[in-house]
Amino acid sequence: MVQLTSMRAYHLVIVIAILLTAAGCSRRKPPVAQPVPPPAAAPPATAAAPPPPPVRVEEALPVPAEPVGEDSIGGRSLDELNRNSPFKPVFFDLDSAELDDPGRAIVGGNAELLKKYSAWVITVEGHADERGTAEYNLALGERRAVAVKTYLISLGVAPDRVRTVSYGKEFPFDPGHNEAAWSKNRRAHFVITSK
Amino acid sequence: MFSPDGTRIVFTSSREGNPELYIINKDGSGLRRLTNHPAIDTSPTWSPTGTQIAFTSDRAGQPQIYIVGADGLNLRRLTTAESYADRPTWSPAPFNEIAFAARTGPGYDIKIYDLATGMTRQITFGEGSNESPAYAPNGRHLAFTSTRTGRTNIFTIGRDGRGVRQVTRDGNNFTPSWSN
Repeated sequence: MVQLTSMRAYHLVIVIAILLTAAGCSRRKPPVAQPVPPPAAAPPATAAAPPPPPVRVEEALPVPAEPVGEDSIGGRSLDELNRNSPFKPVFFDLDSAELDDPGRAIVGGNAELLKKYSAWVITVEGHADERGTAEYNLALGERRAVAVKTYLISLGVAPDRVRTVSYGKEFPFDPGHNEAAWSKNRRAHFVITSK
Repeated sequence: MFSPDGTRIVFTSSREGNPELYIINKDGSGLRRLTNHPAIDTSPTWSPTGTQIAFTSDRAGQPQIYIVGADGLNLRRLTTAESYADRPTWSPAPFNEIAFAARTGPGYDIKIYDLATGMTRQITFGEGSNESPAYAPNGRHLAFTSTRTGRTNIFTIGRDGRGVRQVTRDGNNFTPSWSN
């Protein structure tokens, strides 16, 4: 009897959950559906003509996650933000703290994000691969972090919103002992410290 | 790092954009810049008399050990036979030597430069990578890091290369320093 009751309650919960999910989806659709079609429609223009449109609209449905995610960024906790960071890391050549063109493009994108979320304060962590000594790598990591901060400032980000720290080789992103790992470890990593 | 008489601190800072050496009194007064070079200058250590400082710089391309007066004058390069040298540690008197980590392969070993003779001797030999030497206050031992047991741990060793002892066993452990 107790089991039956709990089974019913369980099914009821599932039904409510489905209804809520459906309601949630239908609520989310309008704001999302509008921005989606344009980007989805752009590529097919170069391809075939009439048949795709209806299909493309259907395909576009999973894509909304992006605009929804971006809009919800501001509402996430610091932990959530840093776990799935909207900032991209910047990578460096061996024993170098110079930003190359791809590096500048990444920092530029991160700067735009900082302008959009103007209350965010970040720490740029400088890291190095394992081949240098601990002490030298601390200085090298510091240089990398400072290079990124300097470029962010040149793009209009307020200096007091960017802190720097170096961890040298103490926190590798990839613990491997080859170039594939080292290239990932020579990096500047962005952490949001307050918002 | 505190000066031998405990009145001053030498440290690395990138406050002006590039890692340079600075000296400051322990009460926070008297800040002055010791090095001025676009390369990295780091890892300073005081001479026993407090009149000179040894440090690491990559101004020649790769990190090497240099000595400069505490007044910023009389800079000279100490290591010339190493491909990469870092973390000098100046022995207390009566020993007159500087230990450092030198690249000896994919990793590093601890070497000691005798300032009286200009000779260098090696005290670790490729068991893992050995870095960050630090002279004990009595000058007879050094602490250093080694990967010889897997992760990075702190060990001590006699200045003659004998009597290696493991000090830490958990996690990774870096940049040791002695109490006085």
